[in-house]
Amino acid sequence: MTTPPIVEGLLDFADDVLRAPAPKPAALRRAVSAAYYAVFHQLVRSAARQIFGDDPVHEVDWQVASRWYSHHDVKVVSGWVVNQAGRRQLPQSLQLLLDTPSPELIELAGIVSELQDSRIEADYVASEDLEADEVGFLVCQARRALALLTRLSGDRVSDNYLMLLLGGPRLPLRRAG
Amino acid sequence: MPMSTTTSMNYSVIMTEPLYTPAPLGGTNDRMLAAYADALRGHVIEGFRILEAVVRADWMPQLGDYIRVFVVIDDPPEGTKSWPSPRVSALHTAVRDAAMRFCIVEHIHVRSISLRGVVRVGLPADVIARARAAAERPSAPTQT
Repeated sequence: MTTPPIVEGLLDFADDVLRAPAPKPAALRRAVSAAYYAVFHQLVRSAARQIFGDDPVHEVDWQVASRWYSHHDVKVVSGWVVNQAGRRQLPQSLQLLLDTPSPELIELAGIVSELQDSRIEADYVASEDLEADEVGFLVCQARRALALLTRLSGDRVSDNYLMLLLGGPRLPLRRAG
Repeated sequence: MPMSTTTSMNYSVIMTEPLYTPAPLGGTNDRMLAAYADALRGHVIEGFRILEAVVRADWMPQLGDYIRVFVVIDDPPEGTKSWPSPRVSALHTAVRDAAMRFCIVEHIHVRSISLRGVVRVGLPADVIARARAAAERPSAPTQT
């Protein structure tokens, strides 16, 4: 699967921040945000390709569809995978759709969730700064997530995860099967 | 015929209302959070000494009710820039999992801070002092 230029660009930006001898607090916050958005864009692209297919003729369709995904839905659906793996309570329909997530999917969902938490805190918790080690870890996790994403294709539960990213939390899942 | 003045239903509002999102389960109190912090503090988790642990309940519009956990760990060994990511990831997972022992079911966000970063991050002075004192102690903490 091709990687949109924005994904590598965001990670390059984060790497540049970390290479500085003494990164400024605001730069470290931006690096966390960049790491999260790199994963978000690639995840959304994977999900859109699942809907329209892999043929590059759909490039415009992928771009249009990528606007349909929300951070909230990505977080909630990723949380479902983590909860399913941890045998926590989910509605029956979700248990069926996400019944046996692969280790790669569980790890990916966990990283997406952690990156989004970190991104939100980096943007909104002004009273605490980040240290470079933390940010370095999160950038590594983003790269790990991108690698995991390439290994998901063909796995039924992973396909369901990508499908649910598009508005899954707004489906009538309590009532369905 | 005059136009009807009947108010029509705004379906866009209905369709954007999430039907299933994890509701905060609540029930977590300060005593549970303190017990959780105690269970982390001074132990070795995934090979990391937990020099100090701070656990706080918090809320943000984007995250809802959640628990913030700060664990202070040793600095990376001489000559290495940072701890390996897989080890840090395993630490965060273990710290999150430990919350279940105290029936803390809210979403947990873990931050692991190396000793050298505690001031920069802005942890309280007493936490920093305890972490530094713990780092000086040669005793072998217990694995949890």
